[in-house]
Amino acid sequence: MFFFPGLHVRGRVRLDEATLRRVAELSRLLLSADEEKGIGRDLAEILEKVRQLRAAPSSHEARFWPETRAFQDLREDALRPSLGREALLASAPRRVDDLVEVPFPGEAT
Amino acid sequence: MTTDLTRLTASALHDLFERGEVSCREITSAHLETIRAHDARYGAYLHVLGEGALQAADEVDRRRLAGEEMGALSGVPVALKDVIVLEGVPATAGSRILEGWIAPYTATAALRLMGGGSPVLGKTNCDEFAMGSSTETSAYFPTRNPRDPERVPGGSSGGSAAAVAAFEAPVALGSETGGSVRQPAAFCGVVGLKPTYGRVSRYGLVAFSSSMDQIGPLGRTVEDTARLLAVIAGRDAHDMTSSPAPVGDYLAELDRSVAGVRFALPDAFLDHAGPALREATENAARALEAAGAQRVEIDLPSLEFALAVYHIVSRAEASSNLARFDGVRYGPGAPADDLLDLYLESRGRGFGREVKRRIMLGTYVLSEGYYDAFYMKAQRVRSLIAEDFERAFRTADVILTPTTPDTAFRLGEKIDDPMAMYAQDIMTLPANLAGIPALSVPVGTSRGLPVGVQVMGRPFEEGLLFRTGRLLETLSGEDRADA
Amino acid sequence: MPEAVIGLEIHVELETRTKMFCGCANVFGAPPNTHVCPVCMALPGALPLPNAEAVRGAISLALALGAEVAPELTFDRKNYFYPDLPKGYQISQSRQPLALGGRVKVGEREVRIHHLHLEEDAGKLLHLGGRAGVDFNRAGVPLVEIVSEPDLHSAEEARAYMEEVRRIVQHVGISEVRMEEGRMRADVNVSVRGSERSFGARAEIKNMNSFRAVERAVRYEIQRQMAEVAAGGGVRQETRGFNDETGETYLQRLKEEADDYRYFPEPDLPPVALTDEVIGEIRASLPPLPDERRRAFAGMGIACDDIALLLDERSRGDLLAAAVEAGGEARAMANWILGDVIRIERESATALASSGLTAGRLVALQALLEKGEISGPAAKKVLEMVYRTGEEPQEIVRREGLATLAEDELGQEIAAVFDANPKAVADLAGGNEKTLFFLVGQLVRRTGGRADPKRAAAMIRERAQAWKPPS
Repeated sequence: MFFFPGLHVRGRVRLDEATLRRVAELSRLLLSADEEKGIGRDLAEILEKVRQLRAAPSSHEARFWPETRAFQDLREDALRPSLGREALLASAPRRVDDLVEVPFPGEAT
Repeated sequence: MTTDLTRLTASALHDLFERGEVSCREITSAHLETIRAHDARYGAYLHVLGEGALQAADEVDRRRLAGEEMGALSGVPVALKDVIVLEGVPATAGSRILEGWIAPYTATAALRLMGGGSPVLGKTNCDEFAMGSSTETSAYFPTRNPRDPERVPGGSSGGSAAAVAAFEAPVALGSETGGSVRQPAAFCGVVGLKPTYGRVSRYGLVAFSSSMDQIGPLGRTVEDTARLLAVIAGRDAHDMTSSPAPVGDYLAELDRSVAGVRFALPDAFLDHAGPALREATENAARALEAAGAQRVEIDLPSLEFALAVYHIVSRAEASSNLARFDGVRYGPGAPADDLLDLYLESRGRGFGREVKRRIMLGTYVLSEGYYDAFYMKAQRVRSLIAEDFERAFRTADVILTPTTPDTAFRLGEKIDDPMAMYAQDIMTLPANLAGIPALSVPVGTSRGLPVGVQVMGRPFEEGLLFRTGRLLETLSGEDRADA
Repeated sequence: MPEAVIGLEIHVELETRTKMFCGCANVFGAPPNTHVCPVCMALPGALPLPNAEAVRGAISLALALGAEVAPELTFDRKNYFYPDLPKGYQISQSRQPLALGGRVKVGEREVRIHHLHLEEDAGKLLHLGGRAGVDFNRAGVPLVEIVSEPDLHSAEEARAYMEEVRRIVQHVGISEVRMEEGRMRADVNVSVRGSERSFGARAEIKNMNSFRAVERAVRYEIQRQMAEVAAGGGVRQETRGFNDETGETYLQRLKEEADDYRYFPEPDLPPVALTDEVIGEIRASLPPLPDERRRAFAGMGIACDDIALLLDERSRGDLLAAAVEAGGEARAMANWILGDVIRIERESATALASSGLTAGRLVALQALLEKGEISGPAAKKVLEMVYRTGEEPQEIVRREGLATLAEDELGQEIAAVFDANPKAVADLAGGNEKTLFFLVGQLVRRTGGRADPKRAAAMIRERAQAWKPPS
């Protein structure tokens, strides 16, 4: 049986609200109630398709592309010019002194 | 003279330029003029370089006079999809979250083009973060198909395909993850290539799905497309996934005969196509046989899972790749009282619905408890699909399929039906999963709308694809001088 | 009897020229945001490129710890959001860490290493009077993380382990490990077991960057947990921080709210083969490690305590080994190093390794001393000058006129000192030994250290008897 917390599979695949909220939180996405409903529905539809995978055979190992490289292919430890502070800070929406400003983080590391 | 220039192929323009009969400035200027006159109708461009393009053209002219040898497309200006960064020029990736951002560096593919003597005309419109098959998810405006402005140009490289089809650029670069160069090429009646994964550097390409993304050339002819690939292909020290495989001499291969080439027409693809596309593909098959190619049978049993695998892998990678868009280092940012607020506001306002949808799915399939069953399983099945192709290519040299299930659909027709939209890529995404090259070639029309067929080949055998495509493009008897 | 069970996760910054995944300079203390590029700033379209030297260094460390290096170098993404993490993920290793196993001997105990992995550091979040900002100079700096098994059982052991790891890292040559620069940080896992009421849950104390902090934090935490258990409570899985001022640990987060890092293989980085040749070559170029040095120095007759000091900073051991190689006598060289050289290094702004003091010069200095060409005090002066300028001792002696006084010159100087201090001489003649030191001191001062104190003392004592004040 295809059982995962948050994923209801009897009949149709459906995501419960708690799971949806958790995923949105992990993704740092703010969804309106409307969007939430819509996306929840879309996700369930897609996951329905995805459920087929269970039936799929598969080779023993996942091959991640591309081919293995040689040690000599690693980057030499040689200095390259920096983009410079102004280039970085010019793009930043907010700055404080020479730092990129962020609103005081409410979360611990 | 100016209108004439935009009607010529890139190869013809290059020849005229090299012979000194036409300057790069004249060519560039002619295209800028066409953009000015017509682009309001199609919306192919997000940003036009104008004076910047002319200055670059002047430099190209100066280099030719100095006797400098440039590339296979010297003198010919190009358009770049707005997911490819160019220093000093805005790059939006079709999204609000990058509104106003000016890139401080240049993508390798663009550098090679400019180094080869091609000024950049502008940045073309695309689906937001290349996520879409119609260019309707662009946060700015949709692009219209020059062959029928009520219809979509395809996506996500709709702007680039439309620009080439509308003579607003001789050639253009788009990007592929699941068919985003080939499908719009087919819809707009131009040629589009997805190179082998690793053939072209991804440095400077805004990432969507890292294990599948590739920059791909678009042109009105196979030769134009081949020339463009020749300029940008090859290993790049900035991209560890770029391949050390040597770059073939594509132009030399172009005119070789297809006699003896073995091709297959798998039902797995044909079955998903409407009658117009089926007929066009069968037609193409007959043309190949008439030219001496040999039809063979192959089997690709794992293809039925391709869509599901593609969904999981691409969205998982995308959810991670788009995490850098947090409102901190670039983008318009958002007023926020604390950090969480900043993330939620920036991403909430900055990302469109399709992007959010994909990030959500991607995060889900990677999360604790689901990773093995979804992501790892998908990657295993993906390997299987790749192995299917490897096996098939022992029997066949190329695989012929329709590029799309049908011709271009109407604007607004599928945007609210994600599953219907995703089904657009059913023919194209297997090549992205397997990392193999695939070329879409226009072969005619159906009820006035362009029809494209696709040839897929072994890794790094783009030359053979061009050779085959060269024959197939002759089937498109229409006069391509009319928009 | 409840027992403390402790494991450490030590992060070491590698001192390569450039960062882990880009060519930006890897430097400490630069003005903020001056060493940044599209890659370490996570601009759209940027791609990582692993640093060969960082990989080499990490492998060296793995070999020095006796760990087994993986057949391939692979990376994974660790996904989470924080302002000092530009990509919104850290490139790290999860499925296949760089090395597994290994051990570190700490006194009588052998601490097993679980694994060693490579990753990149985050930027620095700084607070400026009510506002907060990020400096990305550190973002992307190469880090090696050494994770031990929970084989430690006391605060002292934890500290000793960390100190030994520092020695090993220094000796491998991948970092000077200047603790004040934050080059080595530790997260410590502490739990208490053996009592029926302890649930064996762990507290993780994060981000300590001094040995003292580790020792104090662990000590406090053991007491805290033991008290909890004794009071009938249980210890929860939690993340704690250490307050350096109060010496206490404090709750940061409960582990139930654990992050979901959604690890997956890094698609931008293909695996790199770590062949036997590559590993063999790195193994062959390993410098002498602490244990090897311990044996060598013991064999030279150096005392245990002295050996420990010599190992605390690799440059000291390097100098001793080289000096012995150059013909110096081990204990004499060691005395110099552990006494005056360390003092001079502390007082000067230059590290020993960058100073003018080489093995050859130290040996030459000792030879001059032994031949009697210079006195002890003069030798110290010469040493200081060699350290600062890198000149040959011989040159300095000649130029500064520091050669030991000849007999007659010595006599003359003594006479002068006697003339200036008649009472002291009388006292000495009368048997007051203390004035001898005073008179010798005066002589040394007057002659700028050119008098050999022993000779001088003998001569002063002799002549004091016979001296008559000038009338």
